[in-house]
Amino acid sequence: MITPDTLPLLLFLLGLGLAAVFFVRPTTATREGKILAFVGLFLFPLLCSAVGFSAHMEHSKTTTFCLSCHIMESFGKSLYVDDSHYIAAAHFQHHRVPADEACYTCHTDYVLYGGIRAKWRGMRHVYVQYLGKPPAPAAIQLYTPYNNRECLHCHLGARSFEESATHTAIHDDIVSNQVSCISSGCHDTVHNVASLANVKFWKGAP
Amino acid sequence: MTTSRIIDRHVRIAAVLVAAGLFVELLVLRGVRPAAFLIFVLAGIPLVTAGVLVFLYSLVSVRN
Ligand code: HEC
Ligand code: HEC
Repeated sequence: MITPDTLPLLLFLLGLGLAAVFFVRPTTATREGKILAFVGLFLFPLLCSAVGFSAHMEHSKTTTFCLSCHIMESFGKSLYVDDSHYIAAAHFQHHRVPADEACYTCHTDYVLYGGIRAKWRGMRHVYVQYLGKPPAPAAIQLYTPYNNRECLHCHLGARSFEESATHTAIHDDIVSNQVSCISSGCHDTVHNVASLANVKFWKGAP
Repeated sequence: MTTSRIIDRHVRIAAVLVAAGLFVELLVLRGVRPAAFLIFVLAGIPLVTAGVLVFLYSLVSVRN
């Protein structure tokens, strides 16, 4: 049956089949041959590559993808901490961020082309992972301090956010990123991977 | 070699490159890890692109 999952597969098999035809009988003398060659050696290869590329772009947003590198393991574990003060855990466990795209949902930039920027940072991670010197997990830092914009993308205007007296008192400073949401004393516990040895985990932990 | 034979040879080379590229791309299509993406971009796409370029070249290379 043709589903969104099997469609790319089908395209690739067709593409391979067409290419094979031209390997066995590379005749483009006839009109039909020319048209078929154009389809098999131009349209299909490009179409398949584009479909494949966009599939990889989708994969790169998944929690599985982020956690496929060993170095991110403890960040994955931090999603299962049994303590709602752990911001990442509190969002992940209650599906306040989509569970299968948890990391990406918080770590993309909510601006025009933010998704592309996030993927570009991802390429830098790949570079460091394979060709550079990866730091210890607990020593990893964001390239730029976490921007309130990302939290506010979901929380601004929401009743639970706006009705908090603390938020109201410094509303402008929060919105302008003068005072960080994760300032000490506020929502300052996010992943805290250095302290994971001493915490309890929720049952779903890997 | 006759003109059409030269074209045929180019088409055959293009077909091999395209097939090899598509095969590599297919192998890593379902991979949800950076290595799969890298192989797709650094091996699959260049092979397919080379094949397509050889094919296009075969169209313009020989004047009839
Ligand atoms: C609820 C939003 C949220 C989710 C979900 C989330 N993060 Fe984070 N992450 C943050 C914030 C906020 C920071 C900044 C913490 C700081 O600067 O102290 C951060 C920091 C980091 C850092 C830098 C090191 C650090 O602790 O400061 C890494 C690496 C990281 N996250 C990886 C991940 C991975 C991998 C996932 C998915 C498994 C993930 N994050 C899911 C919000 C989130
Ligand atoms: C993808 C949307 C989204 C993002 C991004 C997001 N949140 Fe949330 N957050 C929610 C939802 C949904 C809830 C549950 C409803 C509510 O409390 O308003 C929630 C709840 C919370 C709570 C209450 C948690 C509890 O256990 O009671 C806090 C605190 C919070 N978020 C802080 C943050 C901070 C800090 C950031 C940025 C690092 C952030 N959120 C980013 C969607 C998001």
